[in-house]
Amino acid sequence: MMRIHRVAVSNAALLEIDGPVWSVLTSQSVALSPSPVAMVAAVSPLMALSTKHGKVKGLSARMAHNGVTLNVRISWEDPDKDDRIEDLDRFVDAAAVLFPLGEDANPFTMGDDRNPVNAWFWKADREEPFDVIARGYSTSQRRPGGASGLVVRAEHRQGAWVVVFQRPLRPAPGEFTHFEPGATARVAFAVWEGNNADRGGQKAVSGAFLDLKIDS
Amino acid sequence: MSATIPSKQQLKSCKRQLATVIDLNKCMGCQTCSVACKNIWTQREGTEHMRWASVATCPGSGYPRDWEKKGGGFDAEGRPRAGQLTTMVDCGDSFQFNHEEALSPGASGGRRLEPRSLQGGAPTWGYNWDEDQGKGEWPNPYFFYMPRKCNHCTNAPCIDACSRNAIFKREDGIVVIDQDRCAGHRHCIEACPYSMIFFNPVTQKSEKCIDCFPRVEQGIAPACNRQCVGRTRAYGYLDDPESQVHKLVRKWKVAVPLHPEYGTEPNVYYVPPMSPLSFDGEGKLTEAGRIPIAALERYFGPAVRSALGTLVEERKRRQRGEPSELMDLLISRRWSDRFAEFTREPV
Repeated sequence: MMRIHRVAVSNAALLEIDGPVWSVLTSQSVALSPSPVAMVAAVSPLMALSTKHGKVKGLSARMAHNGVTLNVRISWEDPDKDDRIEDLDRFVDAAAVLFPLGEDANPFTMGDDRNPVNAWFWKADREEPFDVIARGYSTSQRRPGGASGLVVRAEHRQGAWVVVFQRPLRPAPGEFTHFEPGATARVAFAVWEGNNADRGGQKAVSGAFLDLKIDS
Repeated sequence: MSATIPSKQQLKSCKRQLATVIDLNKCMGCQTCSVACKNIWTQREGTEHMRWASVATCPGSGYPRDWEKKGGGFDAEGRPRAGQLTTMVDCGDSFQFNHEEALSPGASGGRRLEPRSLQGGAPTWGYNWDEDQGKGEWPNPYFFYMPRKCNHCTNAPCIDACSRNAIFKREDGIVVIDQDRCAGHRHCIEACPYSMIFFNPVTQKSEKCIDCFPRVEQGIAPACNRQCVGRTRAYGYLDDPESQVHKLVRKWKVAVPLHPEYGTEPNVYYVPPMSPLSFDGEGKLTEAGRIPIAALERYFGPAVRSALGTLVEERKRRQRGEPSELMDLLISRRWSDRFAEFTREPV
Protein backbone atom coordinates (compact mmCIF):
# COMPACT_ATOMS: atom_id res chain seq x y z
CA MET A 1 0.00 0.00 0.00
CA MET A 2 1.33 3.45 -0.93
CA ARG A 3 1.38 6.11 1.74
CA ILE A 4 0.51 9.79 1.87
CA HIS A 5 2.70 11.17 4.63
CA ARG A 6 1.50 13.84 7.02
CA VAL A 7 4.00 16.68 7.20
CA ALA A 8 4.07 19.96 9.08
CA VAL A 9 5.15 22.07 6.14
CA SER A 10 3.52 25.00 4.36
CA ASN A 11 1.84 24.71 0.98
CA ALA A 12 4.54 26.92 -0.51
CA ALA A 13 7.31 24.66 0.77
CA LEU A 14 5.55 21.57 -0.56
CA LEU A 15 5.39 23.13 -4.02
CA GLU A 16 9.18 23.49 -4.11
CA ILE A 17 10.47 20.71 -6.31
CA ASP A 18 13.71 20.50 -4.32
CA GLY A 19 12.19 21.46 -0.98
CA PRO A 20 13.80 19.66 1.99
CA VAL A 21 10.51 17.94 2.82
CA TRP A 22 10.72 15.80 -0.31
CA SER A 23 14.18 14.45 0.43
CA VAL A 24 13.11 12.92 3.74
CA LEU A 25 10.08 11.08 2.34
CA THR A 26 10.61 7.61 0.93
CA SER A 27 10.05 7.34 -2.77
CA GLN A 28 7.83 4.61 -4.09
CA SER A 29 8.46 3.04 -7.49
CA VAL A 30 5.57 2.59 -9.85
CA ALA A 31 5.96 0.43 -12.95
CA LEU A 32 4.35 1.71 -16.13
CA SER A 33 3.37 -0.16 -19.26
CA PRO A 34 1.73 0.76 -22.59
CA SER A 35 -1.98 1.46 -22.21
CA PRO A 36 -4.18 -1.39 -23.52
CA VAL A 37 -5.57 0.53 -26.49
CA ALA A 38 -7.42 -2.55 -27.80
CA MET A 39 -9.87 -2.05 -24.91
CA VAL A 40 -11.08 1.20 -26.46
CA ALA A 41 -11.14 0.09 -30.10
CA ALA A 42 -14.84 1.00 -30.34
CA VAL A 43 -13.98 4.62 -29.66
CA SER A 44 -10.82 4.75 -31.78
CA PRO A 45 -10.17 1.74 -34.00
CA LEU A 46 -7.25 3.62 -35.50
CA MET A 47 -5.56 4.16 -32.14
CA ALA A 48 -6.11 0.48 -31.36
CA LEU A 49 -3.52 -0.25 -34.08
CA SER A 50 -0.82 1.57 -32.10
CA THR A 51 2.03 -0.64 -30.94
CA LYS A 52 4.73 1.91 -30.13
CA HIS A 53 3.09 4.07 -27.47
CA GLY A 54 3.81 4.14 -23.75
CA LYS A 55 7.59 4.25 -23.88
CA VAL A 56 8.20 5.33 -20.26
CA LYS A 57 8.76 2.26 -18.07
CA GLY A 58 8.27 3.65 -14.60
CA LEU A 59 8.19 6.60 -12.26
CA SER A 60 8.95 7.29 -8.63
CA ALA A 61 6.33 8.95 -6.46
CA ARG A 62 6.37 10.77 -3.15
CA MET A 63 3.13 11.93 -1.58
CA ALA A 64 2.41 14.20 1.37
CA HIS A 65 -0.36 16.26 2.94
CA ASN A 66 -0.30 18.97 5.58
CA GLY A 67 -3.95 18.80 6.58
CA VAL A 68 -4.86 21.34 3.89
CA THR A 69 -3.41 20.19 0.58
CA LEU A 70 -2.54 16.87 -1.02
CA ASN A 71 0.82 16.91 -2.80
CA VAL A 72 2.06 14.37 -5.32
CA ARG A 73 5.66 14.58 -6.54
CA ILE A 74 6.51 12.28 -9.41
CA SER A 75 9.69 11.93 -11.43
CA TRP A 76 10.70 9.80 -14.37
CA GLU A 77 13.59 9.47 -16.78
CA ASP A 78 13.12 11.26 -20.07
CA PRO A 79 16.23 12.24 -22.01
CA ASP A 80 14.26 14.46 -24.43
CA LYS A 81 12.56 17.53 -23.08
CA ASP A 82 9.49 18.07 -25.26
CA ASP A 83 7.88 21.20 -23.92
CA ARG A 84 7.00 22.90 -27.20
CA ILE A 85 5.17 21.81 -30.35
CA GLU A 86 8.00 22.49 -32.80
CA ASP A 87 6.17 21.17 -35.84
CA LEU A 88 2.74 19.83 -36.72
CA ASP A 89 3.87 16.25 -36.12
CA ARG A 90 5.38 16.90 -32.67
CA PHE A 91 3.85 16.33 -29.24
CA VAL A 92 4.71 17.49 -25.73
CA ASP A 93 5.49 15.47 -22.61
CA ALA A 94 2.70 15.11 -20.07
CA ALA A 95 1.72 13.26 -16.91
CA ALA A 96 -1.42 12.64 -14.92
CA VAL A 97 -2.54 11.36 -11.53
CA LEU A 98 -5.92 9.63 -11.60
CA PHE A 99 -8.39 9.09 -8.76
CA PRO A 100 -11.70 7.18 -8.84
CA LEU A 101 -14.90 9.04 -8.05
CA GLY A 102 -17.00 5.87 -8.25
CA GLU A 103 -16.39 2.59 -6.41
CA ASP A 104 -16.02 0.45 -9.52
CA ALA A 105 -14.17 2.87 -11.75
CA ASN A 106 -11.79 1.27 -14.24
CA PRO A 107 -8.71 3.39 -14.87
CA PHE A 108 -8.08 1.82 -18.29
CA THR A 109 -11.42 3.06 -19.64
CA MET A 110 -11.36 6.37 -17.73
CA GLY A 111 -14.32 5.15 -15.66
CA ASP A 112 -17.84 4.82 -17.03
CA ASP A 113 -21.13 6.68 -16.79
CA ARG A 114 -21.82 5.44 -13.26
CA ASN A 115 -18.21 5.50 -12.05
CA PRO A 116 -16.47 8.74 -13.01
CA VAL A 117 -12.76 9.39 -12.58
CA ASN A 118 -10.91 12.60 -11.72
CA ALA A 119 -7.45 13.29 -13.16
CA TRP A 120 -4.83 15.90 -12.46
CA PHE A 121 -3.26 16.47 -15.85
CA TRP A 122 -0.04 18.34 -16.56
CA LYS A 123 1.29 19.20 -20.02
CA ALA A 124 4.86 20.39 -20.45
CA ASP A 125 3.88 23.43 -22.53
CA ARG A 126 1.40 24.82 -20.00
CA GLU A 127 1.86 26.48 -16.64
CA GLU A 128 -1.65 25.66 -15.48
CA PRO A 129 -2.70 22.03 -15.17
CA PHE A 130 -6.13 20.66 -16.07
CA ASP A 131 -8.47 19.08 -13.56
CA VAL A 132 -10.15 16.42 -15.67
CA ILE A 133 -13.47 14.66 -15.15
CA ALA A 134 -14.32 11.60 -17.25
CA ARG A 135 -17.21 9.16 -17.46
CA GLY A 136 -15.70 6.64 -19.80
CA TYR A 137 -13.26 6.79 -22.61
CA SER A 138 -13.77 9.75 -24.99
CA THR A 139 -15.82 11.74 -22.45
CA SER A 140 -13.04 13.50 -20.54
CA GLN A 141 -13.53 17.21 -19.91
CA ARG A 142 -10.57 19.41 -19.17
CA ARG A 143 -11.42 21.96 -16.51
CA PRO A 144 -8.90 24.68 -15.60
CA GLY A 145 -6.81 23.77 -12.57
CA GLY A 146 -8.21 26.86 -10.85
CA ALA A 147 -11.63 25.18 -10.61
CA SER A 148 -10.37 22.92 -7.84
CA GLY A 149 -7.30 24.87 -6.73
CA LEU A 150 -4.96 22.47 -8.52
CA VAL A 151 -1.49 23.86 -9.19
CA VAL A 152 1.67 22.29 -10.58
CA ARG A 153 5.41 22.86 -10.70
CA ALA A 154 7.62 21.04 -13.16
CA GLU A 155 11.27 20.95 -14.12
CA HIS A 156 13.35 18.94 -16.52
CA ARG A 157 16.94 18.36 -15.45
CA GLN A 158 19.61 15.70 -15.84
CA GLY A 159 17.48 13.69 -18.24
CA ALA A 160 14.42 13.49 -16.00
CA TRP A 161 11.16 15.28 -15.34
CA VAL A 162 10.11 16.20 -11.82
CA VAL A 163 6.50 17.31 -11.37
CA VAL A 164 4.72 18.35 -8.16
CA PHE A 165 0.91 18.52 -8.12
CA GLN A 166 -0.83 20.30 -5.24
CA ARG A 167 -4.57 20.52 -4.59
CA PRO A 168 -6.72 21.14 -1.49
CA LEU A 169 -7.74 17.92 0.27
CA ARG A 170 -11.32 19.17 0.30
CA PRO A 171 -11.88 21.37 -2.77
CA ALA A 172 -14.95 23.45 -3.48
CA PRO A 173 -18.07 21.49 -4.46
CA GLY A 174 -17.83 19.93 -7.89
CA GLU A 175 -16.76 16.63 -9.25
CA PHE A 176 -13.37 16.55 -7.54
CA THR A 177 -11.93 13.79 -5.39
CA HIS A 178 -12.03 14.55 -1.65
CA PHE A 179 -9.40 13.18 0.71
CA GLU A 180 -9.71 12.66 4.48
CA PRO A 181 -6.69 12.22 6.74
CA GLY A 182 -6.80 8.76 8.27
CA ALA A 183 -8.81 7.30 5.40
CA THR A 184 -7.74 5.32 2.36
CA ALA A 185 -7.88 6.26 -1.31
CA ARG A 186 -6.81 4.88 -4.65
CA VAL A 187 -4.56 6.27 -7.37
CA ALA A 188 -3.22 5.52 -10.84
CA PHE A 189 -0.53 7.25 -12.90
CA ALA A 190 0.05 7.97 -16.57
CA VAL A 191 2.99 9.44 -18.48
CA TRP A 192 3.07 10.64 -22.09
CA GLU A 193 6.42 10.80 -23.94
CA GLY A 194 6.01 13.58 -26.49
CA ASN A 195 8.95 12.40 -28.56
CA ASN A 196 7.16 9.06 -28.96
CA ALA A 197 3.95 10.77 -30.22
CA ASP A 198 2.17 9.69 -27.02
CA ARG A 199 -1.10 11.58 -26.56
CA GLY A 200 -4.63 10.91 -25.42
CA GLY A 201 -5.13 7.20 -24.90
CA GLN A 202 -1.63 6.42 -26.21
CA LYS A 203 0.31 6.60 -22.96
CA ALA A 204 2.19 4.59 -20.33
CA VAL A 205 -0.06 3.64 -17.40
CA SER A 206 0.36 2.13 -13.96
CA GLY A 207 -2.43 -0.42 -14.37
CA ALA A 208 -5.22 -1.07 -11.86
CA PHE A 209 -5.78 1.51 -9.11
CA LEU A 210 -3.16 1.35 -6.33
CA ASP A 211 -4.28 1.60 -2.72
CA LEU A 212 -3.28 4.65 -0.72
CA LYS A 213 -3.15 5.16 3.04
CA ILE A 214 -3.58 8.79 4.10
CA ASP A 215 -1.81 9.55 7.40
CA SER A 216 -4.12 11.10 10.00
CA MET B 1 -20.38 0.83 -24.40
CA SER B 2 -21.86 3.47 -22.17
CA ALA B 3 -25.30 4.82 -22.99
CA THR B 4 -23.90 8.35 -22.88
CA ILE B 5 -21.24 7.73 -25.52
CA PRO B 6 -22.53 8.01 -29.11
CA SER B 7 -21.60 5.22 -31.51
CA LYS B 8 -19.48 5.98 -34.56
CA GLN B 9 -22.48 5.05 -36.71
CA GLN B 10 -24.56 7.71 -34.95
CA LEU B 11 -21.82 10.29 -35.49
CA LYS B 12 -21.68 9.40 -39.20
CA SER B 13 -25.41 9.47 -39.82
CA CYS B 14 -27.06 12.32 -41.74
CA LYS B 15 -30.43 13.01 -43.33
CA ARG B 16 -29.12 14.18 -46.72
CA GLN B 17 -25.73 14.55 -48.32
CA LEU B 18 -24.35 17.72 -49.85
CA ALA B 19 -21.83 17.15 -52.61
CA THR B 20 -19.50 19.06 -54.90
CA VAL B 21 -18.71 18.17 -58.52
CA ILE B 22 -15.58 19.64 -60.15
CA ASP B 23 -15.06 19.48 -63.92
CA LEU B 24 -11.33 18.95 -64.44
CA ASN B 25 -11.68 19.74 -68.14
CA LYS B 26 -12.40 23.34 -67.22
CA CYS B 27 -10.14 23.89 -64.20
CA MET B 28 -7.26 26.15 -65.23
CA GLY B 29 -5.45 26.18 -61.90
CA CYS B 30 -6.14 29.86 -61.23
CA GLN B 31 -6.39 29.29 -57.46
CA THR B 32 -9.43 31.54 -57.07
CA CYS B 33 -11.05 28.77 -54.99
CA SER B 34 -7.99 28.52 -52.70
CA VAL B 35 -7.82 32.29 -52.25
CA ALA B 36 -11.58 32.62 -51.66
CA CYS B 37 -11.32 30.01 -48.92
CA LYS B 38 -8.16 31.42 -47.37
CA ASN B 39 -9.61 34.91 -47.19
CA ILE B 40 -12.63 33.66 -45.28
CA TRP B 41 -11.34 30.88 -43.04
CA THR B 42 -7.58 30.64 -42.60
CA GLN B 43 -6.17 34.07 -41.91
CA ARG B 44 -6.19 33.48 -38.15
CA GLU B 45 -3.02 32.99 -36.13
CA GLY B 46 -1.92 29.36 -36.39
CA THR B 47 -3.67 28.78 -39.72
CA GLU B 48 -1.09 30.40 -42.01
CA HIS B 49 0.05 27.06 -43.43
CA MET B 50 -3.46 25.73 -44.02
CA ARG B 51 -5.29 25.61 -47.33
CA TRP B 52 -8.68 24.03 -46.72
CA ALA B 53 -9.17 24.45 -50.48
CA SER B 54 -6.19 23.92 -52.76
CA VAL B 55 -5.22 23.23 -56.36
CA ALA B 56 -2.15 21.19 -57.30
CA THR B 57 -0.75 19.85 -60.54
CA CYS B 58 -1.33 16.17 -61.34
CA PRO B 59 0.76 14.10 -61.59
CA GLY B 60 2.81 15.68 -58.84
CA SER B 61 3.51 15.56 -55.15
CA GLY B 62 0.19 17.33 -54.49
CA TYR B 63 -0.96 19.28 -51.50
CA PRO B 64 -0.08 18.59 -48.75
CA ARG B 65 3.19 17.18 -50.07
CA ASP B 66 3.01 13.46 -50.88
CA TRP B 67 -0.45 13.13 -49.32
CA GLU B 68 -1.15 10.00 -51.36
CA LYS B 69 1.77 8.24 -49.64
CA LYS B 70 0.71 9.00 -46.08
CA GLY B 71 -1.72 6.13 -45.49
CA GLY B 72 -5.02 6.39 -43.65
CA GLY B 73 -8.47 5.41 -44.88
CA PHE B 74 -9.54 1.77 -44.91
CA ASP B 75 -8.15 -1.43 -46.39
CA ALA B 76 -10.14 -3.71 -48.68
CA GLU B 77 -11.73 -5.39 -45.64
CA GLY B 78 -12.82 -2.07 -44.17
CA ARG B 79 -10.20 -2.03 -41.41
CA PRO B 80 -8.55 1.32 -40.65
CA ARG B 81 -5.08 1.82 -42.12
CA ALA B 82 -2.37 3.55 -40.11
CA GLY B 83 -1.38 6.96 -41.44
CA GLN B 84 1.19 9.71 -41.03
CA LEU B 85 0.99 13.27 -39.83
CA THR B 86 1.82 16.20 -42.08
CA THR B 87 4.50 18.76 -41.21
CA MET B 88 4.48 22.54 -41.53
CA VAL B 89 6.51 22.30 -44.73
CA ASP B 90 4.27 19.51 -46.13
CA CYS B 91 1.34 21.86 -45.60
CA GLY B 92 2.97 24.49 -47.77
CA ASP B 93 4.90 26.41 -45.12
CA SER B 94 4.21 30.13 -44.82
CA PHE B 95 7.11 32.06 -46.20
CA GLN B 96 8.09 35.28 -44.50
CA PHE B 97 10.07 37.94 -46.34
CA ASN B 98 12.88 40.20 -45.05
CA HIS B 99 10.99 43.37 -45.89
CA GLU B 100 12.68 45.46 -43.18
CA GLU B 101 16.14 44.39 -44.21
CA ALA B 102 15.65 44.80 -47.94
CA LEU B 103 13.13 47.59 -48.39
CA SER B 104 13.15 50.07 -45.51
CA PRO B 105 14.67 53.48 -46.34
CA GLY B 106 17.52 53.05 -43.89
CA ALA B 107 18.37 49.52 -44.96
CA SER B 108 21.91 48.85 -46.00
CA GLY B 109 22.20 48.20 -49.73
CA GLY B 110 22.76 44.87 -51.36
CA ARG B 111 20.16 42.83 -49.51
CA ARG B 112 17.68 41.12 -51.79
CA LEU B 113 14.13 40.32 -50.84
CA GLU B 114 14.27 36.66 -49.86
CA PRO B 115 11.67 34.20 -48.58
CA ARG B 116 12.30 32.38 -45.33
CA SER B 117 10.68 29.18 -44.21
CA LEU B 118 8.58 29.28 -41.02
CA GLN B 119 10.96 26.55 -39.85
CA GLY B 120 13.97 28.81 -40.56
CA GLY B 121 16.32 28.99 -43.54
CA ALA B 122 15.55 29.08 -47.22
CA PRO B 123 12.39 27.27 -48.32
CA THR B 124 12.89 23.73 -49.62
CA TRP B 125 9.28 23.11 -50.56
CA GLY B 126 6.09 25.09 -50.73
CA TYR B 127 2.56 25.27 -52.05
CA ASN B 128 2.53 24.47 -55.77
CA TRP B 129 6.29 23.87 -55.74
CA ASP B 130 5.96 21.51 -58.73
CA GLU B 131 3.28 23.50 -60.57
CA ASP B 132 2.78 22.54 -64.24
CA GLN B 133 5.66 20.04 -64.26
CA GLY B 134 3.44 17.01 -64.86
CA LYS B 135 4.77 13.98 -66.69
CA GLY B 136 5.35 12.53 -70.14
CA GLU B 137 7.95 13.08 -72.87
CA TRP B 138 7.91 15.64 -75.67
CA PRO B 139 5.85 15.87 -77.82
CA ASN B 140 3.30 14.34 -75.43
CA PRO B 141 3.76 15.87 -72.02
CA TYR B 142 0.65 16.05 -69.87
CA PHE B 143 -0.77 17.38 -66.66
CA PHE B 144 -4.08 18.46 -65.24
CA TYR B 145 -5.12 20.41 -62.18
CA MET B 146 -6.54 18.80 -59.07
CA PRO B 147 -8.61 21.14 -56.90
CA ARG B 148 -9.27 19.61 -53.51
CA LYS B 149 -11.04 20.20 -50.23
CA CYS B 150 -12.46 17.97 -47.49
CA ASN B 151 -14.53 15.23 -49.12
CA HIS B 152 -17.12 15.19 -46.31
CA CYS B 153 -16.97 11.42 -46.64
CA THR B 154 -19.97 9.20 -46.02
CA ASN B 155 -17.70 6.72 -44.24
CA ALA B 156 -15.46 9.39 -42.72
CA PRO B 157 -12.36 7.79 -41.17
CA CYS B 158 -11.69 10.94 -39.13
CA ILE B 159 -14.93 10.29 -37.21
CA ASP B 160 -13.79 6.74 -36.44
CA ALA B 161 -10.32 7.87 -35.44
CA CYS B 162 -11.21 10.68 -33.05
CA SER B 163 -10.73 9.33 -29.55
CA ARG B 164 -12.81 12.19 -28.12
CA ASN B 165 -15.78 11.82 -30.48
CA ALA B 166 -15.26 15.44 -31.47
CA ILE B 167 -15.99 14.87 -35.16
CA PHE B 168 -19.47 14.29 -36.56
CA LYS B 169 -21.64 14.67 -39.61
CA ARG B 170 -24.31 17.36 -39.61
CA GLU B 171 -27.79 16.54 -40.89
CA ASP B 172 -26.76 17.91 -44.30
CA GLY B 173 -23.75 15.59 -44.49
CA ILE B 174 -21.07 18.21 -43.77
CA VAL B 175 -18.34 16.78 -41.49
CA VAL B 176 -17.23 19.17 -38.75
CA ILE B 177 -14.77 19.11 -35.84
CA ASP B 178 -16.20 20.39 -32.56
CA GLN B 179 -13.46 22.79 -31.49
CA ASP B 180 -14.54 22.54 -27.85
CA ARG B 181 -14.14 18.75 -27.83
CA CYS B 182 -10.96 18.58 -29.94
CA ALA B 183 -7.84 18.06 -27.83
CA GLY B 184 -5.37 18.15 -30.71
CA HIS B 185 -4.44 14.47 -30.55
CA ARG B 186 -4.35 14.42 -34.37
CA HIS B 187 -5.59 10.85 -34.90
CA CYS B 188 -7.98 12.36 -37.47
CA ILE B 189 -5.06 13.72 -39.48
CA GLU B 190 -3.44 10.29 -39.53
CA ALA B 191 -6.77 8.71 -40.49
CA CYS B 192 -7.64 11.05 -43.37
CA PRO B 193 -6.15 9.47 -46.51
CA TYR B 194 -6.65 12.80 -48.30
CA SER B 195 -4.60 14.73 -45.66
CA MET B 196 -7.33 17.37 -45.60
CA ILE B 197 -7.21 17.99 -41.84
CA PHE B 198 -4.70 20.49 -40.48
CA PHE B 199 -3.26 21.06 -37.03
CA ASN B 200 -3.35 24.57 -35.59
CA PRO B 201 -0.29 24.83 -33.31
CA VAL B 202 -1.63 27.99 -31.64
CA THR B 203 -5.03 26.67 -30.54
CA GLN B 204 -3.60 23.11 -30.47
CA LYS B 205 -6.68 21.80 -32.24
CA SER B 206 -7.30 20.23 -35.61
CA GLU B 207 -9.18 22.14 -38.29
CA LYS B 208 -10.58 21.45 -41.72
CA CYS B 209 -12.95 22.63 -44.44
CA ILE B 210 -16.42 23.20 -42.99
CA ASP B 211 -17.99 23.39 -46.48
CA CYS B 212 -18.80 27.02 -45.59
CA PHE B 213 -21.79 25.82 -43.56
CA PRO B 214 -22.68 29.32 -42.31
CA ARG B 215 -23.11 30.31 -45.98
CA VAL B 216 -24.86 27.08 -46.92
CA GLU B 217 -27.40 27.63 -44.13
CA GLN B 218 -28.21 30.96 -45.81
CA GLY B 219 -28.63 29.39 -49.26
CA ILE B 220 -25.18 30.54 -50.45
CA ALA B 221 -22.84 28.01 -52.08
CA PRO B 222 -19.43 27.40 -50.45
CA ALA B 223 -16.90 30.07 -51.42
CA CYS B 224 -14.62 27.72 -53.38
CA ASN B 225 -17.56 26.65 -55.54
CA ARG B 226 -19.27 30.01 -55.84
CA GLN B 227 -16.14 32.00 -56.67
CA CYS B 228 -14.83 29.61 -59.33
CA VAL B 229 -14.41 31.77 -62.43
CA GLY B 230 -14.27 28.79 -64.76
CA ARG B 231 -17.73 27.48 -63.82
CA THR B 232 -16.10 24.16 -63.07
CA ARG B 233 -18.11 23.45 -59.93
CA ALA B 234 -21.58 22.25 -59.05
CA TYR B 235 -23.06 21.98 -55.56
CA GLY B 236 -26.21 20.57 -54.07
CA TYR B 237 -27.87 17.57 -52.49
CA LEU B 238 -27.04 14.25 -54.10
CA ASP B 239 -30.64 13.07 -53.69
CA ASP B 240 -32.12 16.16 -55.37
CA PRO B 241 -32.97 14.95 -58.90
CA GLU B 242 -33.00 18.54 -60.16
CA SER B 243 -29.48 19.32 -58.95
CA GLN B 244 -26.50 19.21 -61.27
CA VAL B 245 -24.60 17.11 -58.77
CA HIS B 246 -27.31 14.46 -58.94
CA LYS B 247 -27.42 14.57 -62.72
CA LEU B 248 -23.63 14.37 -63.15
CA VAL B 249 -22.98 11.78 -60.43
CA ARG B 250 -26.09 9.60 -60.38
CA LYS B 251 -27.82 10.04 -63.75
CA TRP B 252 -24.95 10.49 -66.22
CA LYS B 253 -22.27 8.88 -64.03
CA VAL B 254 -19.56 11.12 -65.47
CA ALA B 255 -18.38 12.47 -62.10
CA VAL B 256 -16.31 10.03 -60.05
CA PRO B 257 -14.67 10.24 -56.62
CA LEU B 258 -10.94 10.59 -56.10
CA HIS B 259 -9.25 7.40 -54.85
CA PRO B 260 -12.40 5.37 -54.18
CA GLU B 261 -10.14 2.53 -53.05
CA TYR B 262 -9.51 4.44 -49.81
CA GLY B 263 -12.96 3.21 -48.77
CA THR B 264 -14.23 6.50 -47.33
CA GLU B 265 -17.01 7.19 -49.88
CA PRO B 266 -16.00 10.78 -50.59
CA ASN B 267 -18.58 13.39 -51.60
CA VAL B 268 -16.43 15.53 -53.87
CA TYR B 269 -16.70 14.15 -57.41
CA TYR B 270 -14.60 14.91 -60.47
CA VAL B 271 -15.45 14.98 -64.15
CA PRO B 272 -12.19 13.42 -65.38
CA PRO B 273 -9.95 15.21 -67.89
CA MET B 274 -10.60 14.14 -71.48
CA SER B 275 -7.00 14.77 -72.45
CA PRO B 276 -5.60 16.41 -75.60
CA LEU B 277 -4.73 13.98 -78.38
CA SER B 278 -1.18 12.70 -78.60
CA PHE B 279 1.28 12.96 -81.49
CA ASP B 280 2.98 9.99 -83.11
CA GLY B 281 6.67 9.82 -84.03
CA GLU B 282 5.97 11.63 -87.29
CA GLY B 283 4.33 14.52 -85.49
CA LYS B 284 0.84 13.54 -86.61
CA LEU B 285 -2.16 13.56 -84.27
CA THR B 286 -3.40 10.16 -83.18
CA GLU B 287 -6.70 9.09 -81.66
CA ALA B 288 -5.08 8.33 -78.28
CA GLY B 289 -5.31 10.77 -75.39
CA ARG B 290 -2.09 12.11 -73.92
CA ILE B 291 -2.98 11.21 -70.36
CA PRO B 292 -2.54 7.44 -70.07
CA ILE B 293 -5.81 5.83 -68.99
CA ALA B 294 -3.82 3.89 -66.38
CA ALA B 295 -2.78 7.20 -64.81
CA LEU B 296 -6.40 8.32 -64.59
CA GLU B 297 -7.45 4.95 -63.17
CA ARG B 298 -4.83 5.36 -60.49
CA TYR B 299 -6.61 8.54 -59.36
CA PHE B 300 -10.26 7.74 -59.99
CA GLY B 301 -10.54 3.95 -60.08
CA PRO B 302 -11.97 1.81 -62.89
CA ALA B 303 -15.19 3.88 -63.17
CA VAL B 304 -13.18 6.58 -64.95
CA ARG B 305 -13.24 4.52 -68.19
CA SER B 306 -17.00 4.56 -68.61
CA ALA B 307 -17.17 8.18 -67.45
CA LEU B 308 -14.71 9.20 -70.17
CA GLY B 309 -16.53 7.00 -72.69
CA THR B 310 -19.81 8.81 -72.00
CA LEU B 311 -18.13 12.22 -72.19
CA VAL B 312 -16.50 11.47 -75.55
CA GLU B 313 -19.71 10.01 -76.95
CA GLU B 314 -21.83 12.99 -75.87
CA ARG B 315 -19.29 15.45 -77.21
CA LYS B 316 -19.40 13.71 -80.59
CA ARG B 317 -23.19 13.81 -80.50
CA ARG B 318 -23.02 17.55 -80.02
CA GLN B 319 -20.41 17.91 -82.75
CA ARG B 320 -22.91 16.24 -85.09
CA GLY B 321 -25.37 18.98 -84.19
CA GLU B 322 -27.56 16.76 -82.03
CA PRO B 323 -28.78 17.82 -78.58
CA SER B 324 -26.92 16.60 -75.49
CA GLU B 325 -28.23 17.22 -71.98
CA LEU B 326 -24.82 16.31 -70.59
CA MET B 327 -22.93 18.87 -72.69
CA ASP B 328 -25.50 21.51 -71.72
CA LEU B 329 -25.01 20.65 -68.07
CA LEU B 330 -21.24 20.93 -68.33
CA ILE B 331 -21.44 24.22 -70.24
CA SER B 332 -23.84 25.79 -67.70
CA ARG B 333 -24.88 28.91 -69.57
CA ARG B 334 -26.14 30.46 -66.34
CA TRP B 335 -23.92 30.18 -63.28
CA SER B 336 -26.97 29.67 -61.10
CA ASP B 337 -27.75 26.39 -62.89
CA ARG B 338 -24.85 24.80 -61.04
CA PHE B 339 -25.82 25.39 -57.43
CA ALA B 340 -29.39 24.08 -57.01
CA GLU B 341 -30.98 26.08 -54.16
CA PHE B 342 -27.65 27.58 -53.06
CA THR B 343 -27.75 30.59 -55.38
CA ARG B 344 -28.17 33.52 -52.99
CA GLU B 345 -25.59 36.29 -53.24
CA PRO B 346 -22.99 36.29 -50.45
CA VAL B 347 -23.21 40.05 -49.96
